[in-house]
Amino acid sequence: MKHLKSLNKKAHLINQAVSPEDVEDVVAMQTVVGCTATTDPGWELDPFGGLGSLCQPMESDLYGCADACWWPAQVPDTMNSYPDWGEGVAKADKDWRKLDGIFEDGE
Amino acid sequence: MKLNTLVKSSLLAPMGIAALMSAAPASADQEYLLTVTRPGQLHVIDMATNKVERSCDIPGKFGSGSIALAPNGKTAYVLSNMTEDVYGISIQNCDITFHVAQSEGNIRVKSVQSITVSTDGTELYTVQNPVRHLPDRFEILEPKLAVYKIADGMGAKPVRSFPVERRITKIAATETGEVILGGGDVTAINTQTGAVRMVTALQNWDRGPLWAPPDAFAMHSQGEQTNEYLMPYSTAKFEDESMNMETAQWWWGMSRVNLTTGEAERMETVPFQFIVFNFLTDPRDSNILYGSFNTLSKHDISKHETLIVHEMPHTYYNLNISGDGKTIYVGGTSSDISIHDSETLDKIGSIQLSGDMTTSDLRVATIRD
Repeated sequence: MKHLKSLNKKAHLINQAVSPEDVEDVVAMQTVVGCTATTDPGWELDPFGGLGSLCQPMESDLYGCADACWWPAQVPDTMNSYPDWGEGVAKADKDWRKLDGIFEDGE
Repeated sequence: MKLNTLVKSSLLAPMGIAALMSAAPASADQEYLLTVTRPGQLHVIDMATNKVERSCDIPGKFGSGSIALAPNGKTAYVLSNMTEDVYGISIQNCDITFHVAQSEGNIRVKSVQSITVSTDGTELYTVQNPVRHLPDRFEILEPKLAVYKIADGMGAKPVRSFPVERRITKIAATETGEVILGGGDVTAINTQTGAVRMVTALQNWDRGPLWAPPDAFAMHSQGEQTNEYLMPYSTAKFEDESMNMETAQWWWGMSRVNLTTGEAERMETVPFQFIVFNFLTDPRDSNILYGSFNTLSKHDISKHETLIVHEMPHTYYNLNISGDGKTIYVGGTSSDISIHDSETLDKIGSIQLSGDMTTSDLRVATIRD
């Protein structure tokens, strides 16, 4: 990393985050906020290093991340692998509780 | 989605002559706001009453909700079925008059937002991203611009195709016979010869070491009221070659393509102070832009000033505007379209839909007879 120079704020923050003295700060965030631990697509920093410019609430952004295969690690990829994930849930902000996780082999 | 990785016929009678007359006393033009919601409906909203006129079922699983308009405003072409198929749907009676299934055999073809219609209404263009599914691997094939004749109707097949760059999202047809391609750079392809020219360099721009490479975003198409294609970007100008982020000037900028001429202007617009997903030009004044995301904002780019910032109750990806420039419609993400006065940005109404718009376009179809 020492030969690379970050060009934007986010990259700069990533550089800071990988420094050993900052690791403790991250580990210290032990409180799970809502369902962010499993499905929140906005669990990152915005370009200003804060959270205010992330999509709000996450339910508004849920299908936007899934349908466009934008955030496939956090939400199922409805463009290719799991097109039926949102079946019966036309409004994520109303019925997000019905959106289940993905369980391989029908488990 | 994230920004960091950084859109007149006899059948008018059943639509309601009364509404038509009350809508536009000085003109017979009728504007309809179009969008797509989950699980698969195209909504046609009368912009005179702000009521859903009809909802048309779209075959196939939800795509991305990308919409391209016929020049006469009567047909909406919608990307559906996991972004593999295009359906042409009459906004006057929901009849499906056109269908393209891009995937065939073991080759799966996706289009990422990229559909548009020629200005004479005879051809539909898509950018195709094909992948061959083999028993043991996926084989990534070269992307291409595919040309379809709309008169071929259901089951249309490409009549021409040309190689294009990867990473192309929203596209738009010009009156000069080209298609603007929004990708790493903004380019234009001749739809007869396949020749590609640079319109505005983005990933390849060279403004010297004091300018950070632009972070551009091309997800939605909404320039029909001004006949333009707008590609926003963000960048930073450093004070010196130390590239100090703290003292850099952060800017919003845009490449704005005139779809009549195919020519573009590129400029820094206003300071980069908050996130905007999509910008829109006021049809009355090209110096006035509106932007949507967690806020609805108004900007005067001649003064590099943000004039008004209106906080929104949730994120809205997209926006569009009435032909007279007085009313702004903000949509995308959830199931409500928020309506605002363009002078004050005050909220003046809302339209509730049956499902989430997610990534869908918010487009205005104008029927002129």
